[in-house]
Amino acid sequence: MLKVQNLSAGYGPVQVLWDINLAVSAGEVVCVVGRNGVGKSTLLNTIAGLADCRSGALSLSGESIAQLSTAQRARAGIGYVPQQREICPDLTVEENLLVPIYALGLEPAKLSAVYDGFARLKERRYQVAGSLSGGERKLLAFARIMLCSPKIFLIDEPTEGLMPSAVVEISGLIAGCREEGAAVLLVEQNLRVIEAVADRIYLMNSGRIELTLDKFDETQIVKYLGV
Amino acid sequence: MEAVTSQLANGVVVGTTIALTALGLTLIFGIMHIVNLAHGEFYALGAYFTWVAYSLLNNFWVSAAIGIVATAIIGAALLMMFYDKLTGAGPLRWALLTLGFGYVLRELMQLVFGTDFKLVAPPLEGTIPWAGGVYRIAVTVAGLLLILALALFLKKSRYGVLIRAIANNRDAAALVGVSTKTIYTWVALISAGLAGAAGAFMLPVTSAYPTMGLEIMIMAFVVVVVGGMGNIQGALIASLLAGLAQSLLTLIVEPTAATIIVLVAFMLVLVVRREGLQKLW
Repeated sequence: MLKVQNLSAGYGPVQVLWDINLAVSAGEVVCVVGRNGVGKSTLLNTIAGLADCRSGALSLSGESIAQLSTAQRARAGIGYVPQQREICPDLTVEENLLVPIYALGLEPAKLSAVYDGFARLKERRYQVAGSLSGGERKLLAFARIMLCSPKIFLIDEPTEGLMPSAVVEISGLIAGCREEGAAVLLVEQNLRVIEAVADRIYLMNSGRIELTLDKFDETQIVKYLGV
Repeated sequence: MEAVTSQLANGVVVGTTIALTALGLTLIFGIMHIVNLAHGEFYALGAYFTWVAYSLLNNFWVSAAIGIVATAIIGAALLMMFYDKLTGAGPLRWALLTLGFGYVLRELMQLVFGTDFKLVAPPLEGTIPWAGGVYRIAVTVAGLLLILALALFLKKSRYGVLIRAIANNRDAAALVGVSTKTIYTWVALISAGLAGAAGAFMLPVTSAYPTMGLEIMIMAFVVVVVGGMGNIQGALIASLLAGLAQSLLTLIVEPTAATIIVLVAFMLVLVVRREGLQKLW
């Protein structure tokens, strides 16, 4: 599904990632783990087209996506839920959901389907999105991306700063993506979430992937998280 | 008393014209972060294109529509021609580029149309007591309807939602498939079209002449800054205030002096309140 080969990337003159190799298959949840500042978010930003790819190859379902714009990647099947600035805060909840419907020419009926799955968003449909709680913002961000029916979800620290009940809800959403056959590349620091959802784990340090775990290994993960 | 009401009506016409021009300016800055110093020339192009179309068709309203569309297309083409090259460039680089565009357009208009005034008779004759000429009232109504249509378009339409999404969070919009370039092309078309509409409407009032863009540009820029850069409501209110003040002042001073007084007053507002008047509404 998603294949990243020898990827080097960064922002302007600053290189953040060196020689990254990873792959995510359909129906698989792959976690990227590391301390703050090792380049995890930059990795997702690069795959989504928000950071500069210096060298290497990026492909989705066998097609190269390295030359595509962020919007073209979204249309090709990349669904990215960033850690911050994940919604349009001045638009209402409903307008936020209408953006992918209008941009991709989807049936307006899709909106009802989203509200069936996210009752809380329906309650707040006319509320300005910037006034939502942290958990509700994450739900809205997920709902927006789900409307695009992506082949792969890139999710950046979705549980950070959330209440335990919201963490459970978000973990359930991630597991649901896998059950529906989508691939998930998840950046996460919450050990319990990693344990619950990860099929494979990449451990990152200083802009490189140093180790790949085929099963949850708390000792190794803790070492890379520095906790 | 009739002189005062007549000047008030005139002030609303002038204010509406400034508002149409300023809205285009604030729209393109608020969404594309472009300081468009050629915007005034789009106003002049609107007037000249309408004059050319009128010379051929002899129908003012059809000619105005042609003038508006032609200005929108040429203005958007000029801005979007360099969009790929200048993606991510700061406002200063855009300001220098559009300053050059403005100069070239002004010289070209002078070369093609000469320096004399190109006049078209108002398509509506007659006056209404206490309110002034019928055409001026029609222009005010048309301008206000255009502004209302723009507000409704931005609030309710499919492209309006996408434009507001891009303006609010470009990355979040792109991540769900919104093509920035398509939306920016729409914004550039609307922005240049609004200036073109102001120019077309003012053709029977002021006639067309090469420096007309430069004159409205100064006032439009000042009201945009005073109204709050990128703030549509602020630009609209500041424009009407400027138009009314300018017209009423002509009752007691020369028109040039009235313009100077309004500009100085607005500059003083910026000295006292750096954010302009935007927090007042």
